[in-house]
Amino acid sequence: MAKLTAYHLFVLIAVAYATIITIFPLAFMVYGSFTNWRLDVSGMNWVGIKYYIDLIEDYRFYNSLRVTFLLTALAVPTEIVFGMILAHLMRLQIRFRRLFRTIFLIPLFCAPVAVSLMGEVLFYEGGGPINTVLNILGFGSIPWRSSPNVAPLTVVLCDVWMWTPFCFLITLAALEGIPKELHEASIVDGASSFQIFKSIDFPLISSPLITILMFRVLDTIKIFDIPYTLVGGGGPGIATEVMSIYIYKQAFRDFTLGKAAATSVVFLVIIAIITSLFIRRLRKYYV
Amino acid sequence: MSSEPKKVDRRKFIYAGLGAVALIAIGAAAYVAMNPPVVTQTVTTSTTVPTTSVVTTTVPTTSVVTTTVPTTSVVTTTTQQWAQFPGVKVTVATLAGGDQSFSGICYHYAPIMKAIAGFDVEVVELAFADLPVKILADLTTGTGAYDMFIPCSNLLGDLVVPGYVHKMSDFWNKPGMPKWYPENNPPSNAQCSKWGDEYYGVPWDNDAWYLTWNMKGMDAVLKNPDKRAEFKSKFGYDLNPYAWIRDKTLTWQKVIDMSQFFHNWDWNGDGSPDYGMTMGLRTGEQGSFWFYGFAAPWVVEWGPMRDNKHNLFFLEPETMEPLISSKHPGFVEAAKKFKEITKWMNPAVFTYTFAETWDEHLAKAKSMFLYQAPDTFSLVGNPDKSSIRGYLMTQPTPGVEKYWSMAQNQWVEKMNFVGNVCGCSWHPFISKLSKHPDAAYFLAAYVAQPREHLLTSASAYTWTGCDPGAFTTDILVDYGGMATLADYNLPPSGSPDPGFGKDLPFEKQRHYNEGDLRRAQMAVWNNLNAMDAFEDYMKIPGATAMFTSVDTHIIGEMLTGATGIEEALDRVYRDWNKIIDDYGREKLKTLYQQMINYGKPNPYSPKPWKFDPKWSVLSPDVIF
Repeated sequence: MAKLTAYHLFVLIAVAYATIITIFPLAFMVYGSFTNWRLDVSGMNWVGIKYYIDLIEDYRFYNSLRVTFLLTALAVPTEIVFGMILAHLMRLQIRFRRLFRTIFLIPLFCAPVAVSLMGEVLFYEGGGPINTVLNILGFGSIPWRSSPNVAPLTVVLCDVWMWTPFCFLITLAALEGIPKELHEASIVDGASSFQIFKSIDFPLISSPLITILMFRVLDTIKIFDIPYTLVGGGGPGIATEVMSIYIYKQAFRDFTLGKAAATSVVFLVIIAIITSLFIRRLRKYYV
Repeated sequence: MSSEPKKVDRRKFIYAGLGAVALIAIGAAAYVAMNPPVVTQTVTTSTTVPTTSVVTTTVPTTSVVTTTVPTTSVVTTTTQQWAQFPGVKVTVATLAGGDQSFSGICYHYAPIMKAIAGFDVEVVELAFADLPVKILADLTTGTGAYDMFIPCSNLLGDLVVPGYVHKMSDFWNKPGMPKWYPENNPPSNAQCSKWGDEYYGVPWDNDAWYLTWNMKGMDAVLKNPDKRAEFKSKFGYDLNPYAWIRDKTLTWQKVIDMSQFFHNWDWNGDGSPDYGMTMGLRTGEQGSFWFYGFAAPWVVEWGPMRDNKHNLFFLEPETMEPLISSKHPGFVEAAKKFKEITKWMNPAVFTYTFAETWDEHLAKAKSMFLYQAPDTFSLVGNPDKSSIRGYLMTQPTPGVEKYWSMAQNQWVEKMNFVGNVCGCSWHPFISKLSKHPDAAYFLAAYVAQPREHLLTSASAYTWTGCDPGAFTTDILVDYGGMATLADYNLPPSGSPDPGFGKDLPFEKQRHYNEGDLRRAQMAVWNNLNAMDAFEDYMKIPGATAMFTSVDTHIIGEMLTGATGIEEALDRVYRDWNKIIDDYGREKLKTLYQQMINYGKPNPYSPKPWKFDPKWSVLSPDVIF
């Protein structure tokens, strides 16, 4: 008979934690997606795959998928590129390098809601600072938050402002881990800065870059706070209604928790597929 | 060969266990210490509570207002034995507003409740979007964290139908309870706190959508013959807004034309172009109420009975088919005009909430017109918030020259004015999960007493946003109520405006100018009593979801050009059908028919229109 040891007891704690925090809510959500679970009415009655079928015909589901992936596709590469540029600049021997480094990191410490509220002020169309400067320069005001074509860009700008420091920090740490001898040797061989970056730096920091890419993609796909606060809950209309906002609205505006659960399950499957493809494709970058 | 698991030393095991317990204890203590504080306010300053007061008002027997007014009215509040609730705490969930708005009302009365009835009041402030969610979650889970809530009235059906809230008749006759007078609550306002013939909430607020304009700017143009000629050559008729008010012929088309006329030139002399109209059309806010109020004149036709052809805006009561769709010519026309009027606004209006509209219309005086809730009445007189004290014209929703008749299935070429109580209309409801419903009712009823409610709706102790008209006693004596100018800290009628009085204590400040006050009160009376028809207040279960659908498709998509007019209306139609089917069409049909008193006589019939030539114009040379 197996002896119950301390080893088993400590594993039990971890299993209990995982069950309570992750597995049970997930299982309950999956169950709820097959019921007519509502916020304003007690009780849950089985309805089968009704909400899954509704999703197939739901234009807002496809719209929210499109908006989510659009924001991700615009924001993440921009953050990585800007992060790399800033990291490269911080390796130069310039005055007040440390001060600049600190300043560049400030956005990372701001709460997302604070960033959104700041964006509301900056992008205020009736006389905010950005439009005022644009008017002075003769370009005219831009409908940052009221135009369905421009509002997604505004969300991307706020997200880039907030998360570029994260990319900058990781990239800088990776760049500083490259042995100086490699640069010295390549300089002796007559390589230009671009050649050094392309042939030495970039390959050596590709692993951290992939890590950043994965983190940011998975994070941006789940974005909620900036589009919710900055543009009135996915507005104007549904122009910035990302998947998490759509699920939120189903649950807490329409009170249809069952439908929200079904949408969540489908979204979870989509993310899981993307993640597994991601990892499989990029496994070679991890030693 | 597998090895046996390593055995742990007993002492190490005990130390590890104690360490884990200590960590858990520290974490729990940290959680308790950091538990988000519930917003409460315990005021320890002493408050003098009047035990007896007699208010006598004498109304002049001659009046320019075309209505019969009582020659005297006396309201007496005598000493009475209030019910006592020692050791009780009443928790109220309400819209976040700090020491203003509806939370401000609760904070103001908290020490009074303690003094006269012995119970504490704890105020939980919630954001607008969170209020219905938190309330319903509290009720459906049986938590009972709130004794009383003050939600948007479109939640009424979700509260009443499942039986989550008390009837007010459960408390009326209990000894020691404050008295309020349902007979003074106009039927058009009462629908926001009643279901059928029963009150489920205590009437506090009187939201409705009104049109206001800047009389300073308007009159300057009216006195300029060149500008009047310019208007006539552009639109083919004379600019004569005050006559239109007098004759009850102010229509949305005229407002659209005037908005266009006042748009994009400097009529206020500040050196930059100004705007015609302003509204708060940000998605995720109260934009749907703008559409409900704006569109009603094209759609709602008065009838003597509540049937399936008359007095309808939202749903066909036999089939539950949504009326908002491209199949309804009235809604198509209304939506077209709604989109048209946005051309004469600051393009930033699609990011505006209430605050920005007040800033643009009252403070900066950059938009000629504002169409909105009556909070402007109590803001226009404050020099910190407004630069047009004494120059605010207020009117009910404009009418239309033709409307779509469901009865005749055709356009009817006739003026049609439709009153509304659009807006959240905030009223307190008592939860059946409350352990102290009597104490909660005491607070709600105390505020609804004639004198207290007058002070609350006059924003006499803080800016409340609780708008006058829930009781006829809020209205000035001249217009059938019991309020006097002295209640607003104003001198006798016709005296020069003493100004706001910034240096005075809040309760002595003069938040209103007499002219602004009179025009607003006449507008309130006309809206509730003198329009040709009246729009229902949508409050069946699912009303919140329907409201959100209109906000998304019409305010968010149609007005910004993301989708066409007919498609936006049809998206609302499809959403509403889904919502109705989710609830159960037959079940909701019964409730909707109850909501509109289907099959019964229409309690609303128009009364004579009020116009006061002394106060509705600033000088006689602007009315032609």
